[in-house]
Amino acid sequence: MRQQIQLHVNGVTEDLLIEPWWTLAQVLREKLGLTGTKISCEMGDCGACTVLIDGKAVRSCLFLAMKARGKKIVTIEGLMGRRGVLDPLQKSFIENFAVQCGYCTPGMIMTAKALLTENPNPTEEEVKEALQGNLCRCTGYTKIIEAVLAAAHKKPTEGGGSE
Amino acid sequence: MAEVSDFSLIGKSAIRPDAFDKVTGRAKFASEEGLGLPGMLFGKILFSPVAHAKILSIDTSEAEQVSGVKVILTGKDAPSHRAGLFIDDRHILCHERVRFIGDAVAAVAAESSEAALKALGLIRVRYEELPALFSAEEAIREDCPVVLHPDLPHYDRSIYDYLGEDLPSRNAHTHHKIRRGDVQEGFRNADLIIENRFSNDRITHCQLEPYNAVAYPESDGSVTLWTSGRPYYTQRPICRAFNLPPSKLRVKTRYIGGMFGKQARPERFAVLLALKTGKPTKLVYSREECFFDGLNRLPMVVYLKDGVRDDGVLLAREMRVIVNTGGYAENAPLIIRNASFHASQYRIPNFKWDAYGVYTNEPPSGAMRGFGSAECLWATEQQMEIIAHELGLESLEVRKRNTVDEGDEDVRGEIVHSVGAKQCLEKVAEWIRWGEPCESSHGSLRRGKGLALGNKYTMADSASSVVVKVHSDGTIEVRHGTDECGQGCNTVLAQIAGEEFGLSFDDVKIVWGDTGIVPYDFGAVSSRSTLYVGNALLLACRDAKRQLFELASERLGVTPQELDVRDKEIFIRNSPEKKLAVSDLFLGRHPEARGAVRPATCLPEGGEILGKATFWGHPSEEDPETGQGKRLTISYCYGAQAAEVEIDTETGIVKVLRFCSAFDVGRAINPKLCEVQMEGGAGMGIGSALYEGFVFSRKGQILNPNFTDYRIPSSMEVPSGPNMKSIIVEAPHSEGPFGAKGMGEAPMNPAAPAIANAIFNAIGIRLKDLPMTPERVLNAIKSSKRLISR
Repeated sequence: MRQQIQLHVNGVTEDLLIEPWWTLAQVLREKLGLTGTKISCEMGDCGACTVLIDGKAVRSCLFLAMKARGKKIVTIEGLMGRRGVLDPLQKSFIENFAVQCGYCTPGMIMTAKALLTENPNPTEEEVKEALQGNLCRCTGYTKIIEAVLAAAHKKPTEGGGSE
Repeated sequence: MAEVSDFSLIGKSAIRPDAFDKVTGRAKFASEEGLGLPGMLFGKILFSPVAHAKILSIDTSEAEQVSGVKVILTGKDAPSHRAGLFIDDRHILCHERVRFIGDAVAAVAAESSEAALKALGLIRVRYEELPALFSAEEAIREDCPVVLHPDLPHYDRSIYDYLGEDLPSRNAHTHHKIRRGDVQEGFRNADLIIENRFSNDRITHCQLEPYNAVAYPESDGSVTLWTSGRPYYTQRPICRAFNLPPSKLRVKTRYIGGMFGKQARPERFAVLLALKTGKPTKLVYSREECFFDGLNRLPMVVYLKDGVRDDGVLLAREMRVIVNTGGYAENAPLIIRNASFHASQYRIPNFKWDAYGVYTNEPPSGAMRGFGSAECLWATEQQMEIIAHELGLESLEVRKRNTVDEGDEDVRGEIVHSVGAKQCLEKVAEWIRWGEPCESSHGSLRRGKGLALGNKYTMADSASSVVVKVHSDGTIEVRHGTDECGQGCNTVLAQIAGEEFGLSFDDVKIVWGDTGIVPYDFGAVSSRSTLYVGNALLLACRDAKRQLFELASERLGVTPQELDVRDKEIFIRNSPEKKLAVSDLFLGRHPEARGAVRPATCLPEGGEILGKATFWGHPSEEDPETGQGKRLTISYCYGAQAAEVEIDTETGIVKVLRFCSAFDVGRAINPKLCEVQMEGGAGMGIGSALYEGFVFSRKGQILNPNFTDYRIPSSMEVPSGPNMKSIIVEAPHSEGPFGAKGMGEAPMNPAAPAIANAIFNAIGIRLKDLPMTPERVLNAIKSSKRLISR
C-alpha cells in the first residue's frame, strides 16, 4: 500500500506517494527525475548510488526512501551552486581528467564531498581509503585521487604525467 | 611528419566536452531512457538453473495469472532460426535444450518489474538433465561422450568459414592455423627448448552501467531500440536474429557506462517483447545477470614450446591453444583467429599455431579488452623470462634481441610499421630502476620487480563513415557512428576536425549514437576509432571544404585550389587579406526564396554543405593453411609495463607497489586521454592478474556473480600519485590521422605477466594460472619450498 511522505532533496521539499519497500535510489531516479544518482550493483558494493544524507555519504540503493524522511538529502544535482557555480570537486574532476565513462562519477564526487567536509585537508592515503567503496572500471583511480587532492587545495601529486 | 608545434589542437590535452554533464548529473545514459514513462513494460528473463538439459515442458499458466503480467514468451514464440555472430548456433529463447546456467528459457513483460519477477518464480519448467561438460581439454577429445551441438556441421557459418575445417572433435567449432617456416628445423637447431602450459580463468568487463535496453515498437512496424552499447554493431545481429531489414531497426544510444568489448545482451529480449506486446519494453540486468549473460573473457589453455639459441634468440615457437567458449560460439571464432596477432612483437622465423574453440556447458564468452592477445601474452611474456633465467641472461636484453623493428615481417607475414616497442621497454625499465635491487622488506614480506612487452592490433576489414555539416555561422557539426564509451572519442574527433577546418575546439559540435541520423561505423572495437573515424573525418572535412571553396571561388576571383579556411573565414592562401566569411555564403538570396528560408540558413545554391566520406581498412587475403597475409591488421600499438610488487609469504597476498606503462601511440592527439587509457588499463590489468576470476560450482553455477565476491580493484589496490607512471612514446603511423593510431586496449595486455615476473623475482616461484590469488600463491609457495631468503 503506497504511503504519502515528504523528502527534503537538494533544498526542496517533495511530496511523494511511494511503496514502503522502495529504495531512495529508485525514488530519486524514477519519481524525482534525479537520474544523476546511478544504480549499478544494488548490493552496496560499488558506490555509484552514493548521496549525502545529513552530510554523510550513504548508498541510496540500500537505503529505504521511508527512512530518509526528515533528513537533508543532497544528490549530485544539488552540488552546483545556485548561480551555476560548480563545486570545487566538480571543477577539479573536469580539469584533472578524472572523468571517463562518467557512470561512477556522481557517486565518486558525493563520497569525496563527505570526506572533504569532515577532513578538508586529507592525505593521499586518506583519499584512497575514503574512495575504496566506490568502484571505477575506466580510470584506474589515479586521476580521481589527484582531482580530490587538488580540490582540497593541495598541489597535485607528482608522477602520472606524460613525457 | 609535422611537429606538434605546427598544430593548434593536435597534441593538446583539450578538456572533454562531456565532463561537465558527467560531473553535474546531467549526462544521460540508456539506463535513463523511458524512466517513469506511462505504459512502459518491464521485461525479465527466466534463465536456466541447470547447465545441460532437455526442456521437457514449460507451464506458464500460473505465472500468467499474476496481476500486471502482459505476456510470457518461450522458445516457440521466438524466431525459429538460429543466429550468431560468427556461427548461427543460438536461438533467442531456448528450443528443447539448455546449454549453460543462464541460458534464456522464457521472457516476461509486465507493468512493473515486481510483477515480472513474481511471474518468473511461477513458471514451471521440467528438465531432463544431461551429462554436462566443463573442461575444454575434455571437450576437444575425439572420444568425448558429451556433445553440445550435434547439428554443428549443418550450422551456417556466415564469416570466416575456413575456421570450420580440420576440427579435432565434435565439440570443436573453430580451428585457426599458422604455419611459418619449419618449427621442427628450428627446434633441431636450438640450444634450449622450453615447454610450458599456461591458463587463465574467465573474467568479465564489469562496466559500471548494467546491461540495459528499451525497445519502442513504432506504428509502421519498425522498432526503435535504445542500447547501453553500440548503435550499428548492435543493429546487425539483432536484425539477423529477427530477420528484420536494417531500415526497420533504428538503434540509439547515449553516453555508455563503460564498454571494454561488451556486446548487446538484453536488446534481443526487449525487441522480442516489444514486438509481441506492441508496447515499449525496458530490461535492466541485475549485476548477477551481467555476469552470466555478459559474454565474458575467454578462458584459454596455452601450450607453449620454444626453441632458442644460447644468446636468447628465438628460433622456433609452437603454440597449441584450447579455448573454452561455453555453450555458444558468439565472438569466439574471431577472437581465436585474432589472438595470434599477439605474436607480432617478436621476430620468430619458425612459428606454428593451432588454436581451437570448443563448446562446453559454461557461459558463452565474447570480446573483452585485449581480444585474445592478453591471454596469449600471459603465456609468452612469462616464457621469455623463463628462457632468460635458464640461459643466465638478462631478460630485458633477451626481449630486445627478439623485438621487431620498423619494416620487419611478423609471424603472420605482415610488414610492421610505427614500432616503438624497444623504446617502451627501455622507458619502463628506466622508471622501475631495472637491475637495481628493491628496498629490503621485513618478516614474511618479499619484494620484486618484473616487466613485460605487449601489443594490440587494430583490425583491418572494417569501415567508418563521417558526415560533416557546415553551419551557416561557419562552425561545423561532425556526425559519426562510433561510440563515446568514456574513452573520449568525441574529444579526439573534435580536435581532428577543428585542426583540419581551422576552428577552435568549441566550434565543433559532435552528433553520434543514432543509426537514424549518423552514418555507418563498425564501432568502438579493436582500438579503432581514432584511426578509422579520424581518417574518415579528415576526408569528410576535405569534401566539405571543397564544396565551400567552389562556392567562394567566384566571389574571390580565384580557383578553388587557391583557397583555405580558418576561423570561419575563407581566404586566398597567397594573399590572406582577401577573404570571405563562411556565413556570407549563406546570405545570398535565392530568387524564389521567401519567408524563413531567406535569412542566413540555406545556401542559395545547393542548400547545405554536407561533406561525406568513408574510410575502409581493406585486408589482403589470408591463406587458410598458413595464416599468412600481407595486410591482416591496420596498425599495432606496442608497449611495455613494469611492476614492483610485495608478497606476504604467510598470506599469499600480493600488492602492487609501483607500476609503469609506456606505449607507442603513433601520435598523441590528446596526451591526457592517452595517459588515462594507460592508467585504466593498468588498473584492469592488475585486477586480471591478482583478483578476478569466475568461480564455478561442480554443477556449473557461477558462485561469485557480484562485486563482493568477484573483486575488481578499488582505489586501495592500484598504485597512484608518484607510484603510477604513464609514458607516451610517439612512433607516427603513416596511415593514421596526423600519425595517430589506436591504443585503448594495449595497456591491459602486458600487466599480468609483468606482475607474475615480479613475483618470480621476489620469491622464485612461477605462477602459470591466472588470477594469482592468495590461495594459488600460497599453494605454490608450499609446494615449491624454494623460498629465497633475502
